[in-house]
Amino acid sequence: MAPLFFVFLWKDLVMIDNVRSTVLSVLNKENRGTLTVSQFNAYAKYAQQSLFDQYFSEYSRLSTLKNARRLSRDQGDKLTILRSNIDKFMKSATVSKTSTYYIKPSDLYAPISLVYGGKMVEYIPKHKQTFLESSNISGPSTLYPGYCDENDYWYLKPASLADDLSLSYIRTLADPKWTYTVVAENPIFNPSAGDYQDFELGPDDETGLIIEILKLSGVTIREAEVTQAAAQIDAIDAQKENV
Amino acid sequence: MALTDQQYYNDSANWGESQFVLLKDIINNFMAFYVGDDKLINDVQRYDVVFHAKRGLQELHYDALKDVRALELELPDDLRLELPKDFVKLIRLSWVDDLGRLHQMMSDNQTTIAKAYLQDNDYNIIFDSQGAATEGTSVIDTKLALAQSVDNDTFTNLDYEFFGGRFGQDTKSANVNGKYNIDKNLGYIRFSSDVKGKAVVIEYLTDGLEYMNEDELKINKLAEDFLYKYIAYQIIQYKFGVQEYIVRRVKGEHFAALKNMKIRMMDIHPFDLVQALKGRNKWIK
Repeated sequence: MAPLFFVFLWKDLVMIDNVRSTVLSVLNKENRGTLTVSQFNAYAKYAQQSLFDQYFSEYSRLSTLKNARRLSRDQGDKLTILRSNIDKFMKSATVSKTSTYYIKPSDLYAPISLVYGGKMVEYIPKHKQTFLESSNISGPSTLYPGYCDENDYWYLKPASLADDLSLSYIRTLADPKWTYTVVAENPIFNPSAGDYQDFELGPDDETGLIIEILKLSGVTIREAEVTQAAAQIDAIDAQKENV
Repeated sequence: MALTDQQYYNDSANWGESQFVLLKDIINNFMAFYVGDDKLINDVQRYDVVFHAKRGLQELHYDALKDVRALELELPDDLRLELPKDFVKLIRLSWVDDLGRLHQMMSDNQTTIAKAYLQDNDYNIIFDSQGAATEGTSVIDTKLALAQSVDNDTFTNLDYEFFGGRFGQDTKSANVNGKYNIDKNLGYIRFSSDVKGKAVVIEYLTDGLEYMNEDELKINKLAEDFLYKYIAYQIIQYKFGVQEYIVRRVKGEHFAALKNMKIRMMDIHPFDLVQALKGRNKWIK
């Protein structure tokens, strides 16, 4: 059992190395050129963020499909899988009031819920704030508190609320970094480096990451064919998903 | 957690609470079970739900719940009483006799509550430095306050009602229990001198929102289902892009829930019918 566990652990740990090896192998197939480490890391960051952003539009699309009974629940419920992928980045925190506002966590991607004293705090759009605050029956109150987002701070309504906020949110992803040591003038993968960071997305996204990085790499090495091929693979995948 | 019998009976705040469900629980349930990606309402703000829930509560109080509140007050010498804080509509005004029974009063159409502007010797209206007409006490109020109190327990002023001559009683004003006028804008009731110095009872409808804190607002459980349907209908009918057949369906559900709720809330018991029918063989003389 132990060796098998080790194999899976190692596989997860080296996802970034797998992606880099595959990308380099595609690029070098016909001696088209290569990518520097810093270029790869920059593209890896972009690719990861791009796929992560797509999670949310994909979630909406799959929800629509599911409501239209075009998505199976019994086997491979893609919506649940995707929700689980997003939930991996869910985080909780307590935020204290500073002056008149609450400072957002530095790794905030999107807030899921703000809770004040056990009560859900609701987002109040700025253009509705005045109307709601002067509403005789539906304005923000201690029972139904709200918050406005202004200048990248949260302002609780009513403003008299001053206790801590309990926050659940989706955090931003750590930037992937392929680290190395130089041996005989060649960079050799070194996952023990202090600033090493693997992709945070799951193994399901490995193909997507390779394709995204190849699209950018094709531009860098001035090989339109690489970009076109990558884009074509992407388009075919999307077409299959929509059938 | 359910209360023990001892906890329930020892605290008067718990008495009869099982009739009600809190409005905040209804709003929470609505957000949890009626709103979501796989629900008819996929996206709505809680403040919208709070608004419609409270409006629904008001409508219920006006229409179906008939939650009549009563307030007893001693009538001061100026024969005026302020309207209760949560007053929406008057049901009945009565004075209390020595046996604690209520005697219903009637609205006085023969007088009114009028502003009285001060006038100079040439009958010109007197204005203050801001250009506003200065007000004084109306002759009506002065005359009413000067009227002597009467003891309605031993004396009737039916004779007064018989004024009208040989054609008999003027039935539209025939009442020995005194009269009143309401000024809804200024927010007070003025009584006739018949009830000077007596205790009066104001029975009125409330909208259900004013007399409690927001987290204490509650509604009878028999009306709970209606309130969910009401909120859903109000949201869906004003939501952009909802198919008309869905709007009609929700409207139908809301209407059916309203009828069901009204039937449930009707306080009709077989015993009352039997009691009323006991006199069916009574001879009418």
